[in-house]
Amino acid sequence: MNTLKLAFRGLSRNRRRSLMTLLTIALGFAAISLFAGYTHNIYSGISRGAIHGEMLGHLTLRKPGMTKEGKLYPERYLLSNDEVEKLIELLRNEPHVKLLAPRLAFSGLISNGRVSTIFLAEGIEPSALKTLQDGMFTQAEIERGAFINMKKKLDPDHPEVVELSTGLADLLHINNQGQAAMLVNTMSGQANALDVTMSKSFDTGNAGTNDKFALVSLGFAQNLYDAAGHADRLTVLLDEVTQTEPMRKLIHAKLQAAGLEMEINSWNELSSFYTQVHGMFNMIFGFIFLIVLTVVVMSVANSMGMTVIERTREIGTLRSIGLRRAGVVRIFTMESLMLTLNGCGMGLLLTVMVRYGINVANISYTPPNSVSPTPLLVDLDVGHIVFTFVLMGIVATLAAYLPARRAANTKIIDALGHI
Amino acid sequence: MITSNSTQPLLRISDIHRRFMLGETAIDALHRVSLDIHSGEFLAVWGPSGSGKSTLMNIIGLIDTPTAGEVWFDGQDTHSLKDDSITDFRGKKIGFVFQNFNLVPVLSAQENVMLPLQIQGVTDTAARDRATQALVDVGLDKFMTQRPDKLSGGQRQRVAIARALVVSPRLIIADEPTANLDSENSTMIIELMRQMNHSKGVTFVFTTHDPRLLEHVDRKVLLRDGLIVEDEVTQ
Amino acid sequence: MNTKLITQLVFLAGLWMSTVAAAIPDAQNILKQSDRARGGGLPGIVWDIRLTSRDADKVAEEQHLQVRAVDDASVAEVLEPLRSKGTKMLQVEHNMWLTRPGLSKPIPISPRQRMSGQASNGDIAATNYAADYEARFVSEEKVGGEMCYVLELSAKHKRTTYDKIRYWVSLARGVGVKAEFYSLSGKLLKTALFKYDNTIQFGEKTVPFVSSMVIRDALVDAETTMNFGTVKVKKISPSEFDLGQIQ
Repeated sequence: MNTLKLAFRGLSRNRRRSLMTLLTIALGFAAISLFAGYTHNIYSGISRGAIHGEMLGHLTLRKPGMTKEGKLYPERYLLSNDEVEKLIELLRNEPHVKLLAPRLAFSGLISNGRVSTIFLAEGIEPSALKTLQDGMFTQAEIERGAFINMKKKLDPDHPEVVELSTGLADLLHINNQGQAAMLVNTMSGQANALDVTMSKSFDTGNAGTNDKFALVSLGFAQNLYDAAGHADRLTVLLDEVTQTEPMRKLIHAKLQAAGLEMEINSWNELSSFYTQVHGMFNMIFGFIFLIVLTVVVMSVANSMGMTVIERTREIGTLRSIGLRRAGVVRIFTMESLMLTLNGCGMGLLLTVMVRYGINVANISYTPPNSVSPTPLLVDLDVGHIVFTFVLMGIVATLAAYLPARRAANTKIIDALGHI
Repeated sequence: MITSNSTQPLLRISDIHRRFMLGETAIDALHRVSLDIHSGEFLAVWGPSGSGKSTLMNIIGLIDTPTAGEVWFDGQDTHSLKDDSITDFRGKKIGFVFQNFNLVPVLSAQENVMLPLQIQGVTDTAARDRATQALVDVGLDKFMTQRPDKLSGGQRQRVAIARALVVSPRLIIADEPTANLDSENSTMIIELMRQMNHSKGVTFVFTTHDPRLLEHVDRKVLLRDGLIVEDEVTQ
Repeated sequence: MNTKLITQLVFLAGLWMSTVAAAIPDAQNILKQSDRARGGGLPGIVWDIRLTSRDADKVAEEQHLQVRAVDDASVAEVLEPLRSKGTKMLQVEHNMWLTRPGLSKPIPISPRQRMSGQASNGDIAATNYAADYEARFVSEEKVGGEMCYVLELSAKHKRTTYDKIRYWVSLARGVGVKAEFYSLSGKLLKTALFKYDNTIQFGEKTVPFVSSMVIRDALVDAETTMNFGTVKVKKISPSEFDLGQIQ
């Protein structure tokens, strides 16, 4: 039986009601899709921020126990020169590995000759720094030009030239090309100090670290810390973020085979910012999704309920002329499904239009815990859109099922006698 | 008078009792009704309001089940059938013509007539052909593509008759078929149904108040207070 | 040859010879002797210190401490200001703890934490250079009108805070009058000036003892002055430096 045609005709019986329900579904769908696109853009941005901006790379290799106790007893968990070389040798030629960068982080006091304050420093080889930052921005972002000064640079020929975070530079009143002295305690507890020249300052992108951060060459760090050739971790940069998990397994297996015990962490495990933002947005999305779904279900159930009541006599007639109970249910659920799919289709159209409007509007905002504005962009999150389509279809069909079943189970004589 | 070729009746109802519960109160619409209807008959069930005519029609048409008693249709004991089987049976063997026409407003005349065939699973092409033929038979082929709201009362009832006929039923049940028509259309409908009865041998059972219709029938069954008081073969 | 030239040559030769004769003074011994004026080699010392410090423009409240020290351990107790009274800083070899009335446990102070603040002065005030440093004679130089041996002290092991110290020891008095403290990279971190107007009895001898220490930070504009009051030589039992009993 041509249920489809009947369903479509059925929708045109009460055009206004059908349209209202259609609009409700369309708006709900658009809301979900736009928000999903927004969060997709956010995730992409903060994942790149974690991998290239926070310079976590895709994987970090450390001595076991480093994450737990490394801050208290750093000397126990440093990788020696030999260990670093061995690791690099082992992993250099693996597929998808773009860069292996030994890193050394340390802290101390930095002074401008009059006052001193705490600093936290990252030591990294200048060439590794450059490679690690490639891929930080999408083409769209580069065109917007909002972040150009966030890329950092170190001079391989001048290890004493460092970059300081803007807050730190301000605190000590250091200008570009200004001088300062870094004072640390080496592993063995000896005092060591070196002069530094600040090439330029940068925003850490995080209000909490922007007044303490320093970026130095690995060689300088090793020299200051009296730890020649040492590193506290090895950063692995891959060519594709999707390779993170497969490569983790591969590297783990390879290291075990070579008798090396290393702790391997991925970028999303290490970036608490990413994890927290991701979790929060997931929760908000789930919340919005549930609300919209509830509204859609109620709207469809209401609409279908009223339709069924209005067509009771028709249902009685159809049953009389040979339509089974299941057939009645099928007619109404099909109508509901059609309505919902059309509503979702309209919603998709709405999504595309609004998305375009937002993206060209050049809106910017400063997210929490950040020091510079971010452009507001909405992606097209196909996965979530498809999921929403499917789920709405299912849910709407179910919403129509109950009233339809009730109608099908009504006694024919009662249905026919219905005004 | 057309009599059936076989001695077995098309429809036999025996000792039908139908009780309705209205809250605490019991209403017996039919007390002990037995009736045989033979193939090809053109008969009317008549009587005052509340006599149980509609209830009897519903039971004959298999859209209601009796509280007690049996209904045999075309040799089949309908009592033992499940709802889906009764529904299929009804769709193939019985046609309905309603007082209020009961056409689907969003379908054209042709589509309305195709409906019972499509429900049975007949292909669209075959259904369309048979529907067209049925509409020709009732003289409405020119109005095939019109929706019910564009048709007059008489035309709508003719579509309803075409719909009832299109499945080639054994029996057509018409509950007050002329009640909502003017005298001219009423006459026309009655004549059409008579013609169908003659040419196709379809059995017709009506309920009616209309004396003109009563004049045309072969047999009149009078109901009063849920009992058959008269069963008169007129022609 | 010119008579004048020969005279000059002889003079120079003589000078050189006297220098050579007097050269290579036993630097390690000089160091050991100078330690004594700051408490080294004694069974125990108790003395009073009044301490003022200045950090850029801020002058901190004067502190009055009592210090009990032996060769490789010391405990400094705050007597004034009243609100810090009872605070103690315990140093045993190269470890340091802080305790205060009301604290359930002493707080260990890591070398990192000793980089700034009062705790950093503990490393300067340490008395026993001879044990931790290898001394090398460099030259002679005048400081405050006084002729001094200039010794270069290199750390014997990595447990010292300062890898190198440049130490001026007075020829006449055998006491260290100035010290410059250097980082591992050779950068000057602190400078200290010492005065020895106190005296103590060492056996039958009366020996000069440190009376003031002025420590100036080379990286920031900060200075601490410590004035050492009454000094007593006293045997101090090891239990005074027992971490478990410190409170």
